[in-house]
Amino acid sequence: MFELVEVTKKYRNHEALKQLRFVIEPGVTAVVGPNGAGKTTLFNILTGRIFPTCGTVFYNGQPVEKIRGNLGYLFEDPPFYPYLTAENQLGYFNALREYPVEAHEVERELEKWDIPPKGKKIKDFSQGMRKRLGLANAFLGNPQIVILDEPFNGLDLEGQQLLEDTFVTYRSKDRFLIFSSHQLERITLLADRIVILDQGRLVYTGETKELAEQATKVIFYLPGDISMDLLRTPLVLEIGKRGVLVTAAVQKEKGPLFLQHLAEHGIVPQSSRLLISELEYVFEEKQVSRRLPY
Amino acid sequence: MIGGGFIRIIQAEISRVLRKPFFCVIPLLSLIYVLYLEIGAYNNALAFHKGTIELPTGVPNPFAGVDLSQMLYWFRWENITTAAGATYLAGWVGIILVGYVGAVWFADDLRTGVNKQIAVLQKHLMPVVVGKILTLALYMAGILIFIVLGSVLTTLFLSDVPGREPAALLRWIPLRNLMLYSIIAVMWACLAAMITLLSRSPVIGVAVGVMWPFAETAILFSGNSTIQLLIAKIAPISTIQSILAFVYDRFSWVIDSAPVILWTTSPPLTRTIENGVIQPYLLPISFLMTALVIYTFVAVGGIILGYYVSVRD
Repeated sequence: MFELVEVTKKYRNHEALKQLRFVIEPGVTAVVGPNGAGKTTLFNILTGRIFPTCGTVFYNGQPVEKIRGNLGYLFEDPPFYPYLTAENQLGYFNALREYPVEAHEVERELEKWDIPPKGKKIKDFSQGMRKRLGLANAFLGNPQIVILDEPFNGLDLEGQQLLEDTFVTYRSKDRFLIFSSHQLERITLLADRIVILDQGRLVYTGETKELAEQATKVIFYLPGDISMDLLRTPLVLEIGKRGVLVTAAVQKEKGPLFLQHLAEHGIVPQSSRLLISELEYVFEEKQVSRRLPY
Repeated sequence: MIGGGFIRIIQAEISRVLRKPFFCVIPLLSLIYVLYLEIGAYNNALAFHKGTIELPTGVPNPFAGVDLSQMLYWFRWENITTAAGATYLAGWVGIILVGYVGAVWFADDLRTGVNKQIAVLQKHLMPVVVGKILTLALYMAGILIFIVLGSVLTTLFLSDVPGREPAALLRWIPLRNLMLYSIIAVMWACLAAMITLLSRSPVIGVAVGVMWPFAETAILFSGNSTIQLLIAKIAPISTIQSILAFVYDRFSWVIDSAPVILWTTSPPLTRTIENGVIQPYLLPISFLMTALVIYTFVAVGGIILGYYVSVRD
């Protein structure tokens, strides 16, 4: 496991991380927080690329720099040489790894992520394709530890599904997948554990299901053409919009009653999710909630 | 990460470089530049020999009566390596291209952030950086070999060129000079690369790599103070020019006016004042080589330091 002991990272004008002390257990861990919370700085320290100003990070009792032979990392905006093709670029990165894999494994990874045909240069890739190539690089050689910075951003639906399927393989006792995302539904669905950061401080760390148990509200996503009169009931605490959908927040215990109310009027919610107070707290504080239903 | 790992890194770098059009264009530009000067010198030699060149009234043909094969001395295959390499490195265009290549070599890593990805993949950055520097050295040597071979092939199409013997290309002096030129080119490219990495700015790296030769010349020729003359003996471009003067045996031409050299280097910046008159001054080659090696080591050290620092952002 990763163990952070009083980790602080100071840059010239600000403190990105402030005395972080927690552990990251094997499995899938989501690191959550608004922009500027320190997620990327934390990832950079976990990869051993940058060092904390104070404090130490251990991996199974060893300095974290030693894990690089067994680590895959996805930058939020993955860096590539634009004049190379995907297979050239992945081959290049593979050659520079501590433990390179065989050429056929490179090809297999490219196929898995459905990277464009041979000969197309990366400068002609869409953002989604660049992300796929970054993911192929991160998962190349099936590393024991994978850290992904905003992996779902810019990824198309098919790519998102592929990535979600890959997450499952990291729900084991000896593998780590650590990722950041602003998509709360996805986090609650995919992560075994959550680390919440805000302004470089640790706000919460624990199991996702524990957080879910703390949830007090459920949000229902309803068709956009629903009559507002139907929602004007004491069951509904808040009404909002998300894209073309209408959202309704309901007390968790009253969720079944609300579903019954909708069914009586022939309405089927498109989806629903628990509103997790800790997450919402952080996001609302930072007014990042504009991206979210509430 | 030694042995096979190191070769793997160099192979990967070569593969990368060959796929960037810029690095394929530079050797061609370099060859065109050198051939342009060489063919110009050849035409001049013929014009002097035939007396068809227009000279100011009253000025006699300095090459009257000189045998054409002597005038084409530097086109002999035993000399073409020396002439082609010096032509490339002594003029502004060549040295600027070399500096430009050096700055761009690492600029891609900085600009794209690939250096940071490499730092995640590889705990031991040193072999990666040294591999990149060695590939740069191979590339610079490759450009010089390309220029020499291009010049040799061109002489096949030039009539009256004496001494076209393939074995002459493999004699010690041409090979020694090719090696010296390669070290000079590597040194200058590495200095430009060092500036790119330490400033973390491809723009500054390219600007300094390109402008330095002009600036050094302008500053050192703007006066004859003791400090300027001292710097002129040890500044990098001055050192390069002095080594080229040594290699090219240009001092014998400057001082003795031997009428056999028809394309030349820029005047060497190493100077002294004797009896109030500025004279070219050639430091011992051992000193010049020591300076060259020191510059190269400083540049390599700077690149390694700059690369390490650049990945820690």
